[in-house]
Amino acid sequence: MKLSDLLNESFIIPELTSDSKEGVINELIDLFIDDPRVKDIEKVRQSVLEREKIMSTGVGKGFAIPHGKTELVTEILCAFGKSSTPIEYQALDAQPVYLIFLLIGKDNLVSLHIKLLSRISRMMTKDTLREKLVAATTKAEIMHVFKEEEETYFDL
Amino acid sequence: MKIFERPTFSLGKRTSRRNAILISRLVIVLLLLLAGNSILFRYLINFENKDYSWITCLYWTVTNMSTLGLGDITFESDLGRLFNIFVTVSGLAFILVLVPFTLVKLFQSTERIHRELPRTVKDHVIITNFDHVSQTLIRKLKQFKVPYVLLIPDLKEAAELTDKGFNIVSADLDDRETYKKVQINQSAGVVLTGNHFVNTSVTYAIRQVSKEIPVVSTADSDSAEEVLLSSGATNVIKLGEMMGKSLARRITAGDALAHDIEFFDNLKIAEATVKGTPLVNKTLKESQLRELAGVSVVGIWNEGKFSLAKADTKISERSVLVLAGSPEQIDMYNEIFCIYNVANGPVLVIGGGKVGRALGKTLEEREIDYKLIEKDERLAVSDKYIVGDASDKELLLRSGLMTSPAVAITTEDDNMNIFLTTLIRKFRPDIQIISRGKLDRTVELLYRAGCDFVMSYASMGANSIFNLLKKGNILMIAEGVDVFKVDVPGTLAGLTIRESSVREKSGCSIVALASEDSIKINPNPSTLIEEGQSIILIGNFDAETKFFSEFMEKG
Repeated sequence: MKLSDLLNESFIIPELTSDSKEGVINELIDLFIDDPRVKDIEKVRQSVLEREKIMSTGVGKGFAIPHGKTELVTEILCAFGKSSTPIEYQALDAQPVYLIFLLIGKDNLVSLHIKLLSRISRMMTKDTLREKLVAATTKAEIMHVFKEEEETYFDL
Repeated sequence: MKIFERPTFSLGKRTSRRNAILISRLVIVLLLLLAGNSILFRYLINFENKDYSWITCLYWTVTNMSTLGLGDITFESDLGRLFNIFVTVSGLAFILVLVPFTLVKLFQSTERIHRELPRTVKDHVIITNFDHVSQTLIRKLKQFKVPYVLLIPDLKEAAELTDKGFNIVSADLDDRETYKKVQINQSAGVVLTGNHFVNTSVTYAIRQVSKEIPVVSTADSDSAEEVLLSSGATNVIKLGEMMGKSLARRITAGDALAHDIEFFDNLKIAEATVKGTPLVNKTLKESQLRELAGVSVVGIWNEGKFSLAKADTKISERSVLVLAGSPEQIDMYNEIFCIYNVANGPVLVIGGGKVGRALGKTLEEREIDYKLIEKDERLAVSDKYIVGDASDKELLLRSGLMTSPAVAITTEDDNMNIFLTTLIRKFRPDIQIISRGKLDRTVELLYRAGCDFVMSYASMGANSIFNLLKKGNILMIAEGVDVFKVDVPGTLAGLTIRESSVREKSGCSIVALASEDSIKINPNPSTLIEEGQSIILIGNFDAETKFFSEFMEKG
């Protein structure tokens, strides 16, 4: 399994409208409101926000990886959004965030959840990938950037 | 579960007893000669109508036996003079023959070398080669009171090692009779640390005598491993590969995942680098790791120095946390921290031998980019290799030293490794340096030169062998720091952890208390230590030694 297998254009927002941390997280979670794979969207939201309370998922270098884990999804879900306006995210380097990758894992797939989070972090830290994502303007372009980048990675 | 048994024999004790018998015999002969000659003197001198006290009789005997012959008391009859000659000759025989003969027996080493072990010996470890690994293993076995015997075919070497206090039996390694003589069927197992050609022959010889006894062998290649296993070895340890993997786990690059070191029942010991995580610059108390993930920090590495965890210990960018917890707790830690600490730039691996290659392979599995610097261009088989001399600073800089998150030094030459550590530290005070070391004294120098982590073949091999033979009781965190498990000794049973003062008296910290069906990780000070439980502790070499002398030996 690869990240690009989990992500599709329906779950990409090329320009987020919110400018707050909670706002952008909600915007991405709302993509799954009518998704049949989600049994309770509010519980999903709660799991992500609770994780955020422990420590900010703003890793630095302008990206954040909000995530949560719950029994109330039937599959692992992910979404990506970018913003051209800086979002105050209490990131580790105290810099604003522009790129946000959301991952919702399943409670019984802990190991895979950790591997996916680790993979997202590793990919997003690459300066070249972030530059390409910032330059991409459409859902298709963003999707292509991820697919191209992940070609050299193993299946998880 | 009885883990550590008292030794059931000691070659050293047997030798001392034999020496005592030899000396006693000499003294008895002397006393008999003095007594017999004194009695005869008194009897014979009476024929010449002279009478002396017993003290004078003894005085006459001693002066004549020692050939002093002062001449103040003399015989006048022929019979008396004949007796005088006999006494002088018996004295000469004692001084010139019996005394030197006994001394030769006492000090001539080859005379003291054992050719077999008594039948009463059991649960001993049989070691077939004397090298760094087996020396370290013997030290461990002694510490844990496990008897051992070292087989040395060469008499001269056997004599020298006997003189140094090792338990030696001199015999041919490829002769099956040897293994009968060292009571193999009652032993805990055989350890083969020689080259794999010898190890294979030895394994065949052992299997002629014993089908079941564990045989643990070292090997340096896949083919050697295959051959040894098919010749009958129970376990084969590839030290180069093991070392490479072990060093790779310590590399700070990629992510902040905690990497498993080992399991003790349901207790997982893992290490986590913290660079780039929100933990940096916090104290352990402030980190709230116990509250967040349930894991306990049992120790912390800071710039090559290990210390036990304390609430006020500060976490720095180069710290490595030693964590203990259930698999779920370690997963929880990883879930929180795996998104942090992503460093750019490839890791530099110096040395493209077995260790370097295994290290690179493990880094690949962790999806960490690396470059391998190797002098010998014949070994450079992929584009990962940079051919050249790593002691050349220009080459290091060209290889990306200034942007690399970590350097792993894997050459066999300790002096070279010390040099490289110093050179690299000069350019990059902040980089993580891990190195392979060989000797105890150079390990110390490597840490002093600026290494963050050092591991040696000897300790790693010895601990692995020990664990295989005694079923997993020591876990090496890094050179000089172990996690180990012991049965609760009588000195600690019935006390609370606070009352036991284990930390204060030994410097070891109690990681967990385990009973047959449960394990209490990081127990609080009021927890009672009960008989029948096992204690899992962490400490450096000195602390471990103190713990054994303070609590296990007295217990």
